[in-house]
Amino acid sequence: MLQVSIYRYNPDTDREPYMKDYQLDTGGKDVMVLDVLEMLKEQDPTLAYRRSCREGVCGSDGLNMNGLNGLACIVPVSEAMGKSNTLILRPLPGLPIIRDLVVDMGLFYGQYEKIKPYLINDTPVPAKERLQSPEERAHLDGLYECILCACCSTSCPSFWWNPDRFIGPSGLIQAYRFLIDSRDTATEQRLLELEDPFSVFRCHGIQMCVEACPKGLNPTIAIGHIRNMLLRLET
Amino acid sequence: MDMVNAVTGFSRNGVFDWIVQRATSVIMLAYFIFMMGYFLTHSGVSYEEWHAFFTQTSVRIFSVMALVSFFLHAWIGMWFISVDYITDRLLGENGAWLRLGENGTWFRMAFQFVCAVINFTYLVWGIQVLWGV
Repeated sequence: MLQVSIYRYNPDTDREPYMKDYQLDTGGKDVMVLDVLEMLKEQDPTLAYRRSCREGVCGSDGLNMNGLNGLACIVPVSEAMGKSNTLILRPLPGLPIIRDLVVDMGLFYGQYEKIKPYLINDTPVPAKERLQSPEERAHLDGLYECILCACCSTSCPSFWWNPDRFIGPSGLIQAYRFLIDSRDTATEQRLLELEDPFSVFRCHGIQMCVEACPKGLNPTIAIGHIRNMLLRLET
Repeated sequence: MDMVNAVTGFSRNGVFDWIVQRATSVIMLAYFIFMMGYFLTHSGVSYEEWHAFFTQTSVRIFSVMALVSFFLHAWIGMWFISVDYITDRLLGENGAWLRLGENGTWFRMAFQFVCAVINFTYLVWGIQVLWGV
């Protein structure tokens, strides 16, 4: 029997959040954490969580599993539990709880919005499309793959302390994706919007984001590149 | 919920704060190595030797430089700590820690004021000691 402990909170009925214990028979199979939640939901339909594609593409089911953030659909129970004998599921840390494992992503998306996640180009629009060489396109590898699951930003203490001012690893990897895009002409304007002491410089390089990213991306390196671009622009 | 801002920070520009913090740490490290070198090469320093060492202009310049570096480095570092931890978000009524009401801003400003006073005192006191020998 698998021992599962899940963070529960319904603001309509509970005064405070609490951990609820469940037992589940997985038939001896090493299923994914999301499968565990689906089975438990049959036992207890009041359990709330987000999910959609169940294959690590949509980024809906970011959770804190035994202390580490990740996507429930692609993390096997054995990997989540490690040496522990209980699977402990909590919502992504640092964001307001809506109910059970569902968090309010408003602060996270607010930071994403700030970095203007779209191409800005003030040159005349060509007849067909703005072309990029394969080399220029290659600069975007390791950046564009971000699915905005928030696993990185919600594992970052600097984002916990200043979610309204620090862009966070997810927003910054996206910011760098547009800073180095050969088709974007707003590089300087984008950099000037990041020069304050909070947006970029709250990153102290502890790399919790790198550990958490389910897509294997490295926001810390992207942040280092942004810092170097800022140094070149402003010194 | 208050918006933590940068008006009491060192420069209001993250790039400048960042460079100053790195540069001052290099100066402090160089001074530390210099002083360790002096102690390792001069065992049992007498007052006269110590006095002669610290009255050299170059040593005084380096010492004041290290002292000013400490002042700037500490101010930027303590300011970072204050804007991370002493906020309504963490200390307020719905905060994670001490529930002190919506007074995070006042506690933060008081903390920054105390840090500034201590920092300045060390700077002036240090210069006085250096020029007093």
